[in-house]
Amino acid sequence: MEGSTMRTSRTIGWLFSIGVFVGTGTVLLAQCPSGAVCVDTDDNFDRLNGNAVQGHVETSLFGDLQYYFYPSVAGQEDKDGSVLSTSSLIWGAQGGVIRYNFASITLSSSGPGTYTATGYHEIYCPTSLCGSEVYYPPYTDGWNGYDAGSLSVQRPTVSGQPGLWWLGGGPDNPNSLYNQGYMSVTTNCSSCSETPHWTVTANPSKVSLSCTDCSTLIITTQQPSSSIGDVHIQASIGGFPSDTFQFTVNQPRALVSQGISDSASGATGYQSLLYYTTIEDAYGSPFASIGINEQFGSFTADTTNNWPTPTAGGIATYSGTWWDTISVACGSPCGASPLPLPPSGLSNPVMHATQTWRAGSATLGTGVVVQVDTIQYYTDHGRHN
Amino acid sequence: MKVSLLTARLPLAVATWCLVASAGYSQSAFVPSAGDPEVFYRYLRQAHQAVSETPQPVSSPAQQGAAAMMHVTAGDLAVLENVYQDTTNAIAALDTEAKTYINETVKAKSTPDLKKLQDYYARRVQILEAADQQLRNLLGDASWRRTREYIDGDFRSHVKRRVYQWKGQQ
Repeated sequence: MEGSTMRTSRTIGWLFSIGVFVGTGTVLLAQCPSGAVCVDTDDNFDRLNGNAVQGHVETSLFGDLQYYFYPSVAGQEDKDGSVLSTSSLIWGAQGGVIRYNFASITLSSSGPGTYTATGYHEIYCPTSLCGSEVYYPPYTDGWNGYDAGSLSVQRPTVSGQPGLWWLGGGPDNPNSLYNQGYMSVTTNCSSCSETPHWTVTANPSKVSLSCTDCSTLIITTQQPSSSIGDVHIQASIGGFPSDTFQFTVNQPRALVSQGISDSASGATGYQSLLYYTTIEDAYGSPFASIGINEQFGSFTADTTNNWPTPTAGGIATYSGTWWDTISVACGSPCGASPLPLPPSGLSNPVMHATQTWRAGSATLGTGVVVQVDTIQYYTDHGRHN
Repeated sequence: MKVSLLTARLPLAVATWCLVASAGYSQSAFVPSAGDPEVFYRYLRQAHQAVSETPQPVSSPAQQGAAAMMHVTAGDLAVLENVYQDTTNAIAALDTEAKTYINETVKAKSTPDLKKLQDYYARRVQILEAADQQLRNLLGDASWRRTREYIDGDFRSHVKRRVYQWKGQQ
């Protein structure tokens, strides 16, 4: 700070050195006390708007003896300890105020951090008033004339869920899986008047925003992510952007078999239970519960039969694992042909169809396709092939 | 021979005070009290600067930003500017009077009267207190409270004050 722009004191304090003035110690005064000169300094940064700060240094004089002195100030501005600029010593009018404003700084270029203005405050009594030139500092209280003030600047902060679900266009309310959520931004600037502006800077087609100039919005998923955090969102205040908020549009990925159980059912027939978990795409983790539904294509007979075709169904909720039941149970006497059998190893295909599984809803045909298989009815069991 | 300003310029009776005062005095700067008139005047000056640097219509984003920085509405900026102009004119007139008195007294190799200097300062405080009241009347109580809250809060906290007092014994 004590660079070439800073003037060194001259004729240091001879006036005060004989004890004319002293500091007033811890006295707190609403006004300058009688028989004193008061020196106010203000060295700081102001937040001009969302995207600009400006430093200043100021020396002002007042009090009974203010007109004996001329104020001066020099300054330096730093960001996180690195010097941005300095200013030479400039003088104000007799008994007055002198202020230096540094050039405004654009935050979108210079970034967040701690901006510090350091002022060097010198006062001067000319020969015409004091009989000889008198400069302070050092002041009689030992002050070296330097003061400083800082402003901490943070980027706006976006908050919200880091991801939502793509379930084909809607939510799965029974399972609390949502395709919409709130996002909001904290400006981190109490004096900023600008309305935050939102931008999706990467993969904008994967989400929609309910508004772009607002503090809080609703984000709606439109397409699934290709990778975790591939949707990038920023909110800016007057052009000063937040850090990138990485957002993921997750979706159900697949069904994972958890085993099959075949057993006899009815007088003659079988029941095959095919157990599954449903996993999500981003991390491959199983859902605790998600709506599941199936749809069948046309059934094709593998052999001449009079077996009824099944009715597609859906499951709204479950706990961890669910199962599909393929069952042909016949009474006695049984009119089915061929005759369904309990699990026996005597397997002949009877009929089959394409089976499409969707996750995200119990409503048939709604949700994200997680498995397409062939549902195969055999004489003594059923399978998803 | 070097002679101190005060021994040279102030009445002899006063000058005798100075011989015993201590210069080895340690203090730290302090933040002025809430309601301090000089802090209020600093606020007016800063508002003036904010207005001067954003000469757009009141409805412009720049004016809105300036108003936000000063913690008032954009419409209130004009009120602040009016009070600033009135106050600064009055202070300038007082400064001129005081400086003329001091400079001419010294030039005449006489000593400024401390009571007169105290009177100038008292008038300065009166001007600032009147400005404070004027702004309160113009803004209305609610706006004034918000403004005063800011001045006495964050704004005031940036000011450091040091007092260099004539101190002695009679």
